[in-house]
Amino acid sequence: MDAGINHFIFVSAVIFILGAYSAAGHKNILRVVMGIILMLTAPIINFAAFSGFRNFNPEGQIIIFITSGICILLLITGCLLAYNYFRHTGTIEIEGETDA
Amino acid sequence: MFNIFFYIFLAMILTAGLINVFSGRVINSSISFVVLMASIFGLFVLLNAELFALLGLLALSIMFAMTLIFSKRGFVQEIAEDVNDTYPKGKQFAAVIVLSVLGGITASLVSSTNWQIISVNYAINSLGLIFSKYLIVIILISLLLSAILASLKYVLRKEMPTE
Repeated sequence: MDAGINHFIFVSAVIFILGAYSAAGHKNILRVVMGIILMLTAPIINFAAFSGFRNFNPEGQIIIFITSGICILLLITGCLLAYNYFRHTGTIEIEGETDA
Repeated sequence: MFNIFFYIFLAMILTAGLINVFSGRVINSSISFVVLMASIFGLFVLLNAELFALLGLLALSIMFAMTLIFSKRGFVQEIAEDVNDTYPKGKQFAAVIVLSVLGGITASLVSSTNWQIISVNYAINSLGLIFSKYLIVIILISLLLSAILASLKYVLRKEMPTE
Protein backbone atom coordinates (compact mmCIF):
# COMPACT_ATOMS: atom_id res chain seq x y z
CA MET A 1 0.00 0.00 0.00
CA ASP A 2 1.48 3.31 -1.04
CA ALA A 3 2.14 5.75 1.76
CA GLY A 4 0.20 8.95 1.15
CA ILE A 5 -0.55 12.04 3.13
CA ASN A 6 -3.28 10.25 5.10
CA HIS A 7 -0.72 7.79 6.47
CA PHE A 8 1.42 10.64 7.80
CA ILE A 9 -1.65 12.25 9.38
CA PHE A 10 -2.46 8.94 11.04
CA VAL A 11 1.10 8.74 12.41
CA SER A 12 0.84 12.26 13.80
CA ALA A 13 -2.51 11.42 15.47
CA VAL A 14 -0.97 8.34 17.09
CA ILE A 15 2.00 10.36 18.35
CA PHE A 16 -0.32 13.04 19.73
CA ILE A 17 -2.39 10.46 21.63
CA LEU A 18 0.74 8.80 23.06
CA GLY A 19 2.06 12.20 24.13
CA ALA A 20 -1.26 13.13 25.73
CA TYR A 21 -1.30 9.92 27.72
CA SER A 22 2.34 10.33 28.72
CA ALA A 23 1.74 13.90 29.90
CA ALA A 24 -1.52 13.18 31.72
CA GLY A 25 -0.92 9.73 33.15
CA HIS A 26 2.42 10.09 34.90
CA LYS A 27 3.74 12.02 37.87
CA ASN A 28 7.39 11.99 36.82
CA ILE A 29 8.31 15.44 35.57
CA LEU A 30 10.60 14.09 32.82
CA ARG A 31 7.79 11.96 31.43
CA VAL A 32 5.44 14.93 31.48
CA VAL A 33 8.00 16.99 29.54
CA MET A 34 8.49 14.16 27.04
CA GLY A 35 4.73 13.91 26.57
CA ILE A 36 4.41 17.62 25.88
CA ILE A 37 7.25 17.38 23.36
CA LEU A 38 5.47 14.52 21.59
CA MET A 39 2.23 16.53 21.50
CA LEU A 40 4.16 19.42 19.92
CA THR A 41 5.90 17.13 17.43
CA ALA A 42 2.65 15.75 16.02
CA PRO A 43 1.57 18.94 14.20
CA ILE A 44 5.12 19.37 12.88
CA ILE A 45 4.72 16.04 11.06
CA ASN A 46 1.44 17.32 9.62
CA PHE A 47 3.11 20.52 8.40
CA ALA A 48 5.98 18.52 6.90
CA ALA A 49 3.55 16.13 5.21
CA PHE A 50 1.43 18.85 3.67
CA SER A 51 4.57 20.72 2.64
CA GLY A 52 6.31 17.66 1.23
CA PHE A 53 3.33 16.39 -0.72
CA ARG A 54 2.70 19.85 -2.20
CA ASN A 55 5.94 20.22 -4.15
CA PHE A 56 8.02 21.61 -1.28
CA ASN A 57 5.73 24.39 -0.14
CA PRO A 58 7.99 27.05 1.44
CA GLU A 59 5.35 28.31 3.85
CA GLY A 60 5.12 24.88 5.39
CA GLN A 61 8.91 24.79 5.76
CA ILE A 62 8.87 28.17 7.53
CA ILE A 63 6.21 26.94 9.96
CA ILE A 64 8.20 23.74 10.54
CA PHE A 65 11.29 25.81 11.31
CA ILE A 66 9.44 28.00 13.83
CA THR A 67 7.63 25.11 15.50
CA SER A 68 10.78 22.98 15.67
CA GLY A 69 12.65 25.84 17.35
CA ILE A 70 9.87 26.26 19.92
CA CYS A 71 9.81 22.50 20.49
CA ILE A 72 13.57 22.28 21.07
CA LEU A 73 13.57 25.31 23.37
CA LEU A 74 10.69 23.79 25.34
CA LEU A 75 12.65 20.55 25.64
CA ILE A 76 15.71 22.33 27.00
CA THR A 77 13.61 24.50 29.34
CA GLY A 78 11.73 21.46 30.62
CA CYS A 79 14.94 19.57 31.36
CA LEU A 80 16.36 22.59 33.19
CA LEU A 81 13.13 22.96 35.18
CA ALA A 82 13.25 19.28 36.07
CA TYR A 83 16.85 19.63 37.21
CA ASN A 84 16.00 22.73 39.25
CA TYR A 85 13.03 20.92 40.81
CA PHE A 86 15.31 18.03 41.72
CA ARG A 87 17.89 20.41 43.22
CA HIS A 88 15.31 21.93 45.55
CA THR A 89 13.20 18.90 46.45
CA GLY A 90 15.56 15.95 45.95
CA THR A 91 13.08 14.09 43.75
CA ILE A 92 11.66 14.34 40.24
CA GLU A 93 8.15 13.34 41.27
CA ILE A 94 5.47 16.00 40.87
CA GLU A 95 3.59 16.64 44.10
CA GLY A 96 -0.04 15.66 44.12
CA GLU A 97 -1.93 12.42 44.27
CA THR A 98 0.27 9.79 45.88
CA ASP A 99 -2.00 6.76 46.17
CA ALA A 100 -0.24 4.85 43.41
CA MET B 1 11.78 2.46 -1.43
CA PHE B 2 9.74 5.36 0.00
CA ASN B 3 7.07 2.96 1.24
CA ILE B 4 9.59 0.55 2.74
CA PHE B 5 11.30 3.29 4.73
CA PHE B 6 7.94 4.76 5.76
CA TYR B 7 6.73 1.47 7.21
CA ILE B 8 10.10 0.86 8.93
CA PHE B 9 9.91 4.28 10.59
CA LEU B 10 6.22 3.69 11.43
CA ALA B 11 7.08 0.43 13.20
CA MET B 12 9.90 2.13 15.08
CA ILE B 13 7.62 5.01 16.11
CA LEU B 14 4.87 2.70 17.36
CA THR B 15 7.28 0.45 19.27
CA ALA B 16 9.27 3.27 20.83
CA GLY B 17 6.12 5.24 21.63
CA LEU B 18 4.49 2.33 23.44
CA ILE B 19 7.70 1.64 25.39
CA ASN B 20 7.97 5.35 26.19
CA VAL B 21 4.47 5.51 27.62
CA PHE B 22 4.06 2.14 29.32
CA SER B 23 7.61 1.43 30.53
CA GLY B 24 7.99 1.23 34.28
CA ARG B 25 11.50 2.66 34.41
CA VAL B 26 12.24 6.24 33.48
CA ILE B 27 15.60 5.39 31.92
CA ASN B 28 13.91 2.99 29.44
CA SER B 29 11.38 5.68 28.72
CA SER B 30 14.12 8.23 28.02
CA ILE B 31 16.03 5.88 25.70
CA SER B 32 12.86 5.02 23.79
CA PHE B 33 12.13 8.76 23.53
CA VAL B 34 15.46 9.23 21.72
CA VAL B 35 14.61 6.38 19.32
CA LEU B 36 11.15 7.86 18.81
CA MET B 37 12.51 11.31 17.96
CA ALA B 38 15.11 9.79 15.61
CA SER B 39 12.32 7.91 13.79
CA ILE B 40 10.28 11.11 13.52
CA PHE B 41 13.30 12.88 12.02
CA GLY B 42 13.54 9.95 9.59
CA LEU B 43 10.01 10.78 8.49
CA PHE B 44 11.17 14.37 7.99
CA VAL B 45 13.89 13.12 5.63
CA LEU B 46 11.26 11.22 3.65
CA LEU B 47 9.24 14.45 3.40
CA ASN B 48 12.11 16.50 1.93
CA ALA B 49 12.78 18.37 5.19
CA GLU B 50 16.35 17.17 5.69
CA LEU B 51 17.56 20.43 7.19
CA PHE B 52 15.10 20.30 10.07
CA ALA B 53 15.81 16.62 10.65
CA LEU B 54 19.53 17.40 10.94
CA LEU B 55 18.95 20.38 13.20
CA GLY B 56 16.62 18.37 15.40
CA LEU B 57 19.07 15.50 15.77
CA LEU B 58 21.86 17.94 16.63
CA ALA B 59 19.73 19.73 19.23
CA LEU B 60 18.58 16.44 20.75
CA SER B 61 22.11 15.07 21.05
CA ILE B 62 23.46 18.35 22.48
CA MET B 63 20.61 18.50 25.00
CA PHE B 64 21.24 14.96 26.25
CA ALA B 65 24.99 15.55 26.43
CA MET B 66 24.49 18.78 28.41
CA THR B 67 22.06 17.02 30.75
CA LEU B 68 24.53 14.22 31.44
CA ILE B 69 27.57 16.49 31.77
CA PHE B 70 26.21 19.32 33.87
CA SER B 71 23.65 17.58 36.05
CA LYS B 72 24.49 16.39 39.51
CA ARG B 73 25.24 12.74 40.16
CA GLY B 74 22.05 12.26 42.14
CA PHE B 75 19.88 13.57 39.31
CA VAL B 76 21.08 10.89 36.91
CA GLN B 77 20.72 8.24 39.61
CA GLU B 78 17.18 9.39 40.29
CA ILE B 79 16.37 8.98 36.60
CA ALA B 80 18.03 5.57 36.43
CA GLU B 81 16.30 4.18 39.51
CA ASP B 82 13.02 2.37 39.47
CA VAL B 83 10.39 4.96 40.25
CA ASN B 84 6.77 3.98 40.66
CA ASP B 85 5.26 7.12 39.22
CA THR B 86 2.06 5.74 37.79
CA TYR B 87 -1.47 6.48 38.85
CA PRO B 88 -3.81 3.71 40.09
CA LYS B 89 -4.64 0.92 37.66
CA GLY B 90 -8.31 1.87 37.39
CA LYS B 91 -7.53 5.42 36.35
CA GLN B 92 -4.90 4.17 33.92
CA PHE B 93 -7.39 1.77 32.30
CA ALA B 94 -10.03 4.48 32.00
CA ALA B 95 -7.48 6.89 30.53
CA VAL B 96 -6.31 4.31 27.99
CA ILE B 97 -9.90 3.56 26.92
CA VAL B 98 -10.88 7.22 26.59
CA LEU B 99 -7.70 8.20 24.75
CA SER B 100 -7.94 5.17 22.43
CA VAL B 101 -11.52 6.03 21.48
CA LEU B 102 -10.67 9.70 20.95
CA GLY B 103 -7.54 8.78 18.99
CA GLY B 104 -9.38 6.32 16.80
CA ILE B 105 -12.14 8.80 16.00
CA THR B 106 -9.67 11.62 15.31
CA ALA B 107 -7.34 9.50 13.20
CA SER B 108 -10.16 7.95 11.16
CA LEU B 109 -11.87 11.29 10.54
CA VAL B 110 -8.70 13.13 9.59
CA SER B 111 -7.12 10.37 7.54
CA SER B 112 -10.31 9.61 5.59
CA THR B 113 -10.75 13.22 4.52
CA ASN B 114 -10.12 13.97 0.87
CA TRP B 115 -7.62 16.80 1.23
CA GLN B 116 -7.65 19.41 -1.48
CA ILE B 117 -4.47 20.08 -3.40
CA ILE B 118 -3.40 23.67 -2.78
CA SER B 119 -1.74 25.44 -5.67
CA VAL B 120 1.14 27.58 -4.45
CA ASN B 121 2.22 30.68 -6.30
CA TYR B 122 6.00 30.54 -5.86
CA ALA B 123 6.40 34.08 -7.17
CA ILE B 124 4.56 35.33 -4.10
CA ASN B 125 5.62 32.72 -1.55
CA SER B 126 9.35 32.42 -1.26
CA LEU B 127 11.91 32.34 1.52
CA GLY B 128 13.25 35.67 0.26
CA LEU B 129 10.18 37.34 1.73
CA ILE B 130 11.05 36.30 5.26
CA PHE B 131 12.34 39.78 6.11
CA SER B 132 9.45 41.65 4.48
CA LYS B 133 6.23 39.69 4.40
CA TYR B 134 7.10 37.50 7.36
CA LEU B 135 8.86 40.20 9.37
CA ILE B 136 6.18 40.05 12.08
CA VAL B 137 6.99 36.36 12.52
CA ILE B 138 10.66 37.18 13.07
CA ILE B 139 9.72 39.83 15.65
CA LEU B 140 7.44 37.40 17.47
CA ILE B 141 10.17 34.75 17.51
CA SER B 142 12.64 37.26 18.92
CA LEU B 143 10.21 38.22 21.69
CA LEU B 144 9.56 34.56 22.47
CA LEU B 145 13.29 33.80 22.56
CA SER B 146 13.92 36.71 24.90
CA ALA B 147 11.15 35.51 27.22
CA ILE B 148 12.56 31.98 27.21
CA LEU B 149 16.09 33.22 27.86
CA ALA B 150 14.83 35.37 30.74
CA SER B 151 13.05 32.38 32.24
CA LEU B 152 16.20 30.28 31.82
CA LYS B 153 18.22 32.92 33.65
CA TYR B 154 15.59 32.90 36.42
CA VAL B 155 15.76 29.13 36.65
CA LEU B 156 19.55 29.00 36.71
CA ARG B 157 19.99 31.79 39.24
CA LYS B 158 22.18 31.15 42.23
CA GLU B 159 20.43 30.14 45.39
CA MET B 160 20.08 32.75 48.08
CA PRO B 161 22.26 32.06 51.10
CA THR B 162 20.22 30.84 54.03
CA GLU B 163 21.11 31.27 57.64
